[in-house]
Amino acid sequence: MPSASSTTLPDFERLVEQHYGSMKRLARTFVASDAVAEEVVQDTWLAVVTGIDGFEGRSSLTTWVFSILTNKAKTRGVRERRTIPLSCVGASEPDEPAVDPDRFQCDDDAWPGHWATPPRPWQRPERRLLSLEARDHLKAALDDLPERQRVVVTLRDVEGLDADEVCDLLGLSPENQRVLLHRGRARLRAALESYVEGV
Amino acid sequence: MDEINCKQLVELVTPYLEDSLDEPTLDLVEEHLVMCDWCVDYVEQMRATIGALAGLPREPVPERLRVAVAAALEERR
Amino acid sequence: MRSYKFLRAGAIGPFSGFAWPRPAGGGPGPWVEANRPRARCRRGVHACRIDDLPWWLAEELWEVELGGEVVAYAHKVAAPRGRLVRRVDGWTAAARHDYAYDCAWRTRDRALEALRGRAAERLRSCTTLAAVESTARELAGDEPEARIALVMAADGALTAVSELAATGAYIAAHAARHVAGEDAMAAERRWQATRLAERLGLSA
Repeated sequence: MPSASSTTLPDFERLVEQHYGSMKRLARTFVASDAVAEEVVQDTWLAVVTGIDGFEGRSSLTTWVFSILTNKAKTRGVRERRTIPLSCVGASEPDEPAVDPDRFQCDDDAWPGHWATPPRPWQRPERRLLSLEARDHLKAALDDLPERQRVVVTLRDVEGLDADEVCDLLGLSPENQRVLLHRGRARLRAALESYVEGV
Repeated sequence: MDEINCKQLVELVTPYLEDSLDEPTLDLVEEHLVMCDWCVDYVEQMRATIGALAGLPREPVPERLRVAVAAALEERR
Repeated sequence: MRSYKFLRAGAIGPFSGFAWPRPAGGGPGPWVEANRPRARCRRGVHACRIDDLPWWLAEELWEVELGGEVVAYAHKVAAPRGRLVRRVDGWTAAARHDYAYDCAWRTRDRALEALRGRAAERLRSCTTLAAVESTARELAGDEPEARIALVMAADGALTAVSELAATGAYIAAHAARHVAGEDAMAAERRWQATRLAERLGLSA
């Protein structure tokens, strides 16, 4: 990502396109409607364009943009008396195992805790890019995630921010962030598994 | 504990992929993966899921936003 | 002390995916330092003593030389650097196959320890692992006392047919513990190590 100077501007059109979905998703966690989320995204980009000369490159441009977004979204959310902020993730989150416990053998089986119904094979090798249809399915599954899991997975895996950056942006402890990421990813893998199975 | 089972392993995949497991736990994970092809598959599927997220098609930008940004850029000149 | 290392085909590290540089021209390969960027293992280059081998079975077996301080862990040793010395040629696909089969037959024998009478006869008279698998699964339904040992024998037979040597070794060790206790498990693992060392001419 190029850092800004007064003579070379980043390719804003490309950046807006690249980050729009994630920015909207993040904004939406603070405000009460899609329409307001879109406004926040727009306000953010206008602020970025106006303030780009002041970007010192201490973080990545993406992180900077997302932190402006977060601030604007929070302000807007407070104004509109939106419900519980994202950072209120209690230590008392109910347990959510990564895989349905029924998929494992139980204590009176030969191999307690080992797979009873192992992961169904996907196309091999798994690293090959998933088909277009599978990716659409993944996107739908991402949109269906519980909100906090959705935003953490978006920032970490779709946008590539690192753990510290995400904790700062969202006011999460490292442990909370890890739990949300873990659960979100687990649900997405399961969603892809069901999809692959159904094909 | 001197070994882990599959149910325990799937809960460790996230820190495993981030290289943030402590060393005794990493040992347990690796010893398990050697003898459990299914868990190897699970880890690979998780990697594939993460990779696919990075490559998700982007949501289309509303025209209004595109126009507003272009206008703001124009104003800078 | 000689050290060994199991790698994936092509001398690839099973977890790191690191492609080990191979020996050429008769001498050992070049030294590999553990603290490479993106190194998965912070404790250094891992290797096996002979006793450790059964936990790590994979496609290729290499003799390795370790450099620097060697630290011992439960089932491995680690050092700041290592190099491949020579491939243990005797560890071929056929050797792996035989090994997996041997482990499976021992798991069958372990189930026999838990059986009596007609059921024991039926399992003993199996001449193929396919027969072991189906017979053991069938008997498991009828023999509550020996159910787990029979399921283990069936699972062991199945993995042997798939040539999953590490899984088969694991099953044999656990079957030993189930039927005969912790000491038997340790003895089974020692048998597994000795079996490898003898067939492949490995020395400590």
